[in-house]
Amino acid sequence: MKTKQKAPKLERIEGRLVKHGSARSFSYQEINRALYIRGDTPFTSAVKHVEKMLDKLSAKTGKRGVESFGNTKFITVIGMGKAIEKVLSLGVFLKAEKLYRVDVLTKSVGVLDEFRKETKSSRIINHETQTESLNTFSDTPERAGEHIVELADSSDDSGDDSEDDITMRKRNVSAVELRVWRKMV
Amino acid sequence: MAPIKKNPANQINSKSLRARLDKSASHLFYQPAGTRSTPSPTQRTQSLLHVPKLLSSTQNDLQRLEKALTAAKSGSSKRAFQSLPRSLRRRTASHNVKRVPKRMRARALREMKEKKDDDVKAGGNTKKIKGILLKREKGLSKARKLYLMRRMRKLLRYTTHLKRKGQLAIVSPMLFRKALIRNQMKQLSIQIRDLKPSQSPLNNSVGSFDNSAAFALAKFKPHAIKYVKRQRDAAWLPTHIWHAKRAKMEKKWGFAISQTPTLKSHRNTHRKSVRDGCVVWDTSYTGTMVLRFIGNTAKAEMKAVLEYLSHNSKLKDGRAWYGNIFTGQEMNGPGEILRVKEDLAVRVHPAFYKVVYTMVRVMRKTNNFCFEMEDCRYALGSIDLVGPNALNAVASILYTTNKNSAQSRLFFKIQQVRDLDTIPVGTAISLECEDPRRYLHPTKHHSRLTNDEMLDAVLELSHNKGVDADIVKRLLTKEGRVSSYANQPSLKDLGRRRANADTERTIPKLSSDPTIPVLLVRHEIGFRLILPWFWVLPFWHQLTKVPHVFVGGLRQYHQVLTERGMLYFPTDYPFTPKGMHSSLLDTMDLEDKYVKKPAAKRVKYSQFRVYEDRELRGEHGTPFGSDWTFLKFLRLVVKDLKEYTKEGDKLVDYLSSRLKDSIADKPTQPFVLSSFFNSEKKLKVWLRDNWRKIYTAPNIADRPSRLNMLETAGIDDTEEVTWNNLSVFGKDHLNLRSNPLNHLVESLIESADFDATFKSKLAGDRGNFDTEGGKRVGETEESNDIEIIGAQDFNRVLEPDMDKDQELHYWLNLAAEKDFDQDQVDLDEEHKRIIANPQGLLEETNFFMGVFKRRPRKIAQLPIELARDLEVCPKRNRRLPVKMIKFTVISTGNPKKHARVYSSNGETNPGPENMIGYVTSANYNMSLGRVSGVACVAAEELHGYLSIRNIGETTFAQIQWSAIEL
Repeated sequence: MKTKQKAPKLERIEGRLVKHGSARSFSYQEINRALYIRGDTPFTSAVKHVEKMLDKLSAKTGKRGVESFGNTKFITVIGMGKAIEKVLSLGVFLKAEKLYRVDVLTKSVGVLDEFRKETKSSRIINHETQTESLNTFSDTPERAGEHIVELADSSDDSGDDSEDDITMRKRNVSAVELRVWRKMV
Repeated sequence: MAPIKKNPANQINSKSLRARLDKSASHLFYQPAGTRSTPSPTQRTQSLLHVPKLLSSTQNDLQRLEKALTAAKSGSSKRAFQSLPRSLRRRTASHNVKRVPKRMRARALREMKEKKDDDVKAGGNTKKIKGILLKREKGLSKARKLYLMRRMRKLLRYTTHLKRKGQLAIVSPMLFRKALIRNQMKQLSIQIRDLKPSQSPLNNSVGSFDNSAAFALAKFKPHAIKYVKRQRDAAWLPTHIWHAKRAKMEKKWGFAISQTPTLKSHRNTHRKSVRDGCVVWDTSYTGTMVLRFIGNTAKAEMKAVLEYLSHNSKLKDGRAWYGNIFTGQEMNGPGEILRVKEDLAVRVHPAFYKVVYTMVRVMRKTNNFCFEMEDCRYALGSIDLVGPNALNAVASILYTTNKNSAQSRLFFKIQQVRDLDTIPVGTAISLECEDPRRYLHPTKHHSRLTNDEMLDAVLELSHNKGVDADIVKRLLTKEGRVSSYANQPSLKDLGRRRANADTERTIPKLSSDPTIPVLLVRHEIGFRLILPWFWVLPFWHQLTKVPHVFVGGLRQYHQVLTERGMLYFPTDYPFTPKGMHSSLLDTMDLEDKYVKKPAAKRVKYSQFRVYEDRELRGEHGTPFGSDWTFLKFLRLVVKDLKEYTKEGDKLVDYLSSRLKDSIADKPTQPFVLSSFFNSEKKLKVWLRDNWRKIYTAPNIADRPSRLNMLETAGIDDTEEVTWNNLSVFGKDHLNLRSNPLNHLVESLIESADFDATFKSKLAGDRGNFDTEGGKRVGETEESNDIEIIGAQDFNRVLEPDMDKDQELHYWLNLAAEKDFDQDQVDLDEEHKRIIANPQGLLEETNFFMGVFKRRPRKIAQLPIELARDLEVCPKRNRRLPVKMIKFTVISTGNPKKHARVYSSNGETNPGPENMIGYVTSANYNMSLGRVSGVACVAAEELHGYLSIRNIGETTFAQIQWSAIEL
């Protein structure tokens, strides 16, 4: 039997990690047809959202007050990472309790990781060196006005410029998509 | 009056009604003849409702009803403009057909004619229909009309005359003030005559020009001669006229800014900014200064300036930095710095722009730096976009000249990204665009890119691929912006070209058409489009045509930030000078409103019982807002008392239990002190000991630090401190300060070495403000002088025969000659002056905070000391260290701005000693279904559970909070 090969684990890059979402594209139509579930989305509210969206699909009222059915026959519920479990249990619930037809698809979604090398903020350093007895009621603008800087030799910091303090990396996250079909009348 | 005759047959009562019903319905029931009197059980079942019979009998009725309903629908009295959605309704649409959208205009016109006929028949209104025929005939007197016409004719003649010559007449607002009309005309003609035709012309027929200044603050020059007078107090943004029709305008920070749209907008703003569209703002009021670093020391100088402004010396080429702008150690408020090669563009809020600009100038002089400075406040404008549709919307109005350039390709790859969070903050894209007005409608771009492809584009952008230095240079230099105005077509020109074109949708391009450099920057909540000042309006017009775009005002910006738990300037920045000013102005406004009310309608805050289980009466601090000074003293006093007894929190518990007894006996005693000491005698002893402690210590550092606050000038160490020395039972001015705690604090302030104006403010006597002889700062003497401000200066800026370098030098020389701008001052003198009196600079610029119309007084004279009460840095002495928190209400409750924050420590009923701060912003967050907001609280007390109480209420709302790192 073939053993499954695991994808190599990504190396941790130095710096603070700032997570960015996947690049979903904007479509006005999609707003009422796709539901994105997060890890902290409450289960019941997700169920209500799904039912409301399905209601909207079927109860499209035309100009003359006649109910018409659009071409769309299902809505999608998507969750990735931590939310997968929630999405799946939502699927089971919709299928078993609410008697909807539910399809499950798996996929992977690319996201961006940003690693920021934090330079020690000079602001904090300044605060630490400030003495307790400073009369701050008048000190600041004077200090600002007399702000004298010693310039470093420009040849020294030429390398400083190219230094990359922000690193970006793409990462794939597994995701699951439910298709919840509207009930045919 | 004759009595109404009652016809017994027509009289309706329940009896008759029932009889009639029985009669009419009797035939519907099957009733065999001869059995009517005594129906058997079988007969009873037979006498049921006979449905087919019922239907056939009522068929006619039903049909008639249906007919009537349909007839009513089609021939309803609803007028055409009433069926429009709210956003398309106009106030004048009921009588002016041109206010109704074209597709409905025919119907509207027909209805109008019908209505007019009806009116005439009824002998009423015989006015002609507006929008189709002439305007109303009655109204102005003949002489007035004649005058208006003559004035218009002359103005028009002058403007067209000048425009044809390629010049711009800039007329003083004084012109239309007091002089006699004939004199005005005379003077104007003299001025016009004196304008020499040889002076250099503009490069366009619409009067766009670049208004920037080197090493000085640019002076605002109104664009249109017609509206000079209205821009005396506050400059108009490029989109002012558009906004003035659709929003409430407010004069703030030297600009007229849209405060909120006239449409209802709270829900719309949330939905568009989060779910299904985008919200846009004209943020051209943000000031831009451009710093150009040249020579060998360029890099080092740039580092120093970055360090000075942002406390962070690293900024990659082609990226923007967002954060709080400092001048040395003083935090001013939010701003952004963009770096492209050796240029920095610093964009800051207009409230403190002048301070930052001047301080950078001073810093440059002090250190003998040689970078160039340019004030582009009125030369660069910007549009902010927030929401899932933001990129899509802006992409549909940007027509790049070179579609194959790297920037353009990358931009159109990411234009469909819905979560703006995907793109890192600080990413910048520069583009060169065509005039968007050439296209009738915005163009929607459909791309079928996969998630991966879009992410790759974002990755490329983060490696500085988005910025073309040449394009940015065009945007950030004077000659670049001027070149973008060359041959800028007017709407009339465009209309003419459209009429001659084959297709109406697109106007064919001419080789002389201008190209516009724009910069798109990802900021903290969305994107910002930066472009030359006089190109903002054309782009704005196109942008508002994009579907699902909602235009917001300042209040909407505030809402969007608060929903995201971010700070809005100036409301959420009470620890900065301008933020504190804004907080004080708010308070004063509310107080004014309160005082204007009749006494019977006022809430008696002094009688108000805040805590149900305690006898204490009166709201803490001022009931009209956030009383920061009160908070500072409260925290310090409570802390001192705790330290003194060395029992810490236990003491508070103990005293809380004893409170009722002690207060019941002596209701006028200072609450905190009496509650802690339980008797006046003990308090006196405590005070005496501590004063001695303070004054016998050899130097300030050795004195108990918190007691420094109690330092007084008038009491020396030998004198025994008595109750009277503190004058606790002081004046009861507005009857608002009857809260004993207020008395205490007030007395402490009175004895402390504070500014006299500040004292008088606290004493409730606010009439003594020095207002420079009753005039607001910045106002000049009224006079009949007529002048055309800056016309000569302006016209000298551009010499058509010069090449770019020559022009730049010419322009710099002009600036050096102090001839270029009226604000130009001797740098040395300026430097000396600021060093001598640094606070003066802040005071000078205070009037920028002012709302001119509503509050022309006092603003400039608010004490600076007050602005320095709070500090986000915890190490400083004499200030109250504070922290900003974002919160969500988890219990019931609807906290508002200025609500008091308490550290409840799990107690059910916090007392005044637990008050630690104020809510600065709060609103109903639709995605949470609860109120969320931002508060400013004393940093040292920030732990555990917090609760919030509104001014004038006794209920506490529990909150969930987290600190915001600044």
